[in-house]
Amino acid sequence: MSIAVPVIALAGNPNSGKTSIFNALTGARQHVANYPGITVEIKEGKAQSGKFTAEVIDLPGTYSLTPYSPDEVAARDYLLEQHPDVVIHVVDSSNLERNLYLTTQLMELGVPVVIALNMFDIAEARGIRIDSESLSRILGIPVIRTVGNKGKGADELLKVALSIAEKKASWIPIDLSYGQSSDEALQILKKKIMDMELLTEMVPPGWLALRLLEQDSHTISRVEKLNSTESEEILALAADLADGVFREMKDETEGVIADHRYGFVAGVVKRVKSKPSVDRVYLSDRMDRFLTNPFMGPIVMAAVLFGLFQFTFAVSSTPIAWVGEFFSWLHSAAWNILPEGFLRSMVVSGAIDGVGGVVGFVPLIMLMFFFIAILEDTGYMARIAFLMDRIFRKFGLHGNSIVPFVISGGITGGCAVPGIMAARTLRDPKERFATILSVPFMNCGAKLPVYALLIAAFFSAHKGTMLFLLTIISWIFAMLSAKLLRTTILKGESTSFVLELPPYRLPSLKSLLIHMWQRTWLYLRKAGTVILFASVVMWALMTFPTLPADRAASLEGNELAHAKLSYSIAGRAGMAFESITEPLMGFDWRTDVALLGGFAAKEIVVSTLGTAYSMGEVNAAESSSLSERLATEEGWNPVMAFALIMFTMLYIPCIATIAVIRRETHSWRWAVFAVFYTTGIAALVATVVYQVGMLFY
Amino acid sequence: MRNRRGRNQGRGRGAGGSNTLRPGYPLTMASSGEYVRVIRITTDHAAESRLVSMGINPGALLHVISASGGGPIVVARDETRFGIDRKTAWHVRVVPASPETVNTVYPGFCDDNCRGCSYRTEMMRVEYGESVTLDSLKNTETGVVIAIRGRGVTVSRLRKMGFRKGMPVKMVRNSQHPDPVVVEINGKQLEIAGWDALHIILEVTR
Repeated sequence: MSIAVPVIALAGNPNSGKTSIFNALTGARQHVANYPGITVEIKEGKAQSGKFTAEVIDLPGTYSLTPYSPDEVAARDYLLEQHPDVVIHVVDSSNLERNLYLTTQLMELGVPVVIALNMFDIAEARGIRIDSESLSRILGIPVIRTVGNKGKGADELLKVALSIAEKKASWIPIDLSYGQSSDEALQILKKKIMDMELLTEMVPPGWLALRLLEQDSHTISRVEKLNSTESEEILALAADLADGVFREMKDETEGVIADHRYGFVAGVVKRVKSKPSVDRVYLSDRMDRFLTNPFMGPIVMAAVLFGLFQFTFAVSSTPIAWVGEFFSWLHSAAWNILPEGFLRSMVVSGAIDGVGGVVGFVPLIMLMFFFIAILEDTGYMARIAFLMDRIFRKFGLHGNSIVPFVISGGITGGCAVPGIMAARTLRDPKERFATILSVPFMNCGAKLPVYALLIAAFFSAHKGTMLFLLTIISWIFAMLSAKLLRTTILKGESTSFVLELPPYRLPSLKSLLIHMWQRTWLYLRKAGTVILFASVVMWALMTFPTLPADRAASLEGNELAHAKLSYSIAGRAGMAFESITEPLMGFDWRTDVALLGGFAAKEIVVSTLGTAYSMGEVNAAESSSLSERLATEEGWNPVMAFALIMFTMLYIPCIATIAVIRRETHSWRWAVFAVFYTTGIAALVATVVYQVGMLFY
Repeated sequence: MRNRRGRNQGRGRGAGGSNTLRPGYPLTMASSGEYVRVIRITTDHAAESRLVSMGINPGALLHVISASGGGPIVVARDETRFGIDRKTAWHVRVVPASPETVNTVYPGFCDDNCRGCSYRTEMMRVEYGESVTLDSLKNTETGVVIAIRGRGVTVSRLRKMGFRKGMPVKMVRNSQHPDPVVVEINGKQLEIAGWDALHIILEVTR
């Protein structure tokens, strides 16, 4: 790029509506949910205002510039290292005081700031009046009122931000007082830093002095890395001065400094905010007394989930049948049009039956995504997290681990990839790794078609109940896995848990539909690309090498198809596993092939079964649905189907998940460990289910 | 890592054994619906800094929404609701506060040139004198009971022992927590378990 594009960074507390502002500025449709910690990655977008273009960066939510968890470290490091031209600080108008605490820290850093007084409509509805002009005058920062989800104020915000970014002003830190003893210590430290020119190209010396006096461990280790006599000297001086302040104030410097920041903020808030004394117990609180009640809460939660599954199955069964009929028609049509040969076999058995098996469940998945969006947008998801905390603690997990678990499929239909990334909000690496390794046990959207297929085939009388049961089972295994890890290789104390509970909101239909559609589209796109490709590959593996003509000649009908399939590469691989899986878990070689394919993505288990069973068919022109076929197939019974469900739930996470585990843990060892760990547990559980089940069947 | 000055060395058992004055009572002992003001946070360093940046800072007025059951405690600070786990909440020490003060106790001398002051000192000076839990009363010191905190059973047990609001109490022997303390009320000497002593809040009379 020849001309530097101005860079605007969005910073703010979690759940203050940064992402909705980001969407309003850039026209993007990033996922917004009504619970904190949804954005853990730095996201980029472009904003256009007249002839100006700007790069907009959405930073993970952070409560302060003293980072607590890996996502906050990312936000702070971005500010320090990338030096954005302007920071839009998104402030939740209802919580001015707490939000302005971060503003003072940004002002200490000196980066040019624009305040977006977001969600002011909600604040006004609560009777909170904020004099934004006074606020702007006192702080010396432009203040724009915005309503992110409605796009109000976004144009003005962008214009103001751009005009400041254009100036490319140097950073001017604000000069606050932190009490006499701290101020004196700061002066000494600042002078020393300026003399040494320590990191001055990166951060203002006053800010560095402040951080060192606070004894902020991230700053200390950064200075330590410089590894010079000067850095040693400055650290020793800072520790000395901090000790001095401690002796005088009877409190650590960090506490003293934070206290003065709040003092400054309180003074500001007092003069710009007015709020009539009203009964503070809102509808949200009244609902919470009931919904987070230790006795009623779990009952309501179970009822909500159970009802949701029943309803989803009940409503989606008709459209699923339509989609099924469409693919049957496509199947017969292609069979009749195409000439006999490999092409017909590939298109019909590989592509159509493979993809059809997966796409067939789209109505179910759409509905499920719709309900998940409702739970997220209303804020009930955060209550689920809250209710689970007690249970989580018993299993050695942190309360914040709930968000990763919920995203990964707390209600059947998530995805482990964003779930594992959401574990960045965890501070303690052991709790974080235990979460990352247990999250793949949750029921992701890709396992859903497998469940739906097998439930329809063998447990059709209790569809909703079965799915509810599977959800509970996946939670149980994830919890037990966490406990196992936390009492063996990841032993350690649990860290403290503070969760922000967002108020209940009535979600807008538009945003619900957008969420539903986005997720469904991802699923469809996966079906059209990865699954299609994998289905064809699996078909090829199941077709070649072809049976020699002399052996084929002596066989007919079913036996011929069977011999063909078992002669292929996939067939041979499946056969090799069959000797182990058949007696233990009841999986025949075709199931083994499907499970091998499921390593790429779990939907492939369904598509491969579709291909395998349609290839083995005698009269392929007449297609019956896969679940009907499996129900009558020899060797398949409810016990074996349940063992297969359990195996699918627990075995190897898909390739994408393995890759993200590798990325988040920075180690291949953990990724490889995850593969063997999960598959080991899956084999064990499926064996127990099958062996015990067969005793009673 | 640099050695931190150890104010939180005895963490885990309510900073037991420390001889410094420990005013207030743990947030776990607040009851639903009560307004309290945070006066001190005694968790480990990282958690303290987290709580402070989330707005649960010394000086902050909290409305306890729900403190029942064994789960996290829900508090409101401004318009935000927080769920705080019990172990952490134990380390957040609070004093009773009145909701009316939320708009009135901000430091009185702020103008456009204000560049900071100590929030905590100002807030506390206005709101309350010096209240302490019974276990931090020093030998021979006297105080007046201003509140008895905790679960119903504890409170009623302490009431049966003779503790009432407005009653003067004299410390006879204060061994270190968690050993029992000996106090004098109504002219009688009483031995109280260290844990129980935590539930009685006094204003020190000098």
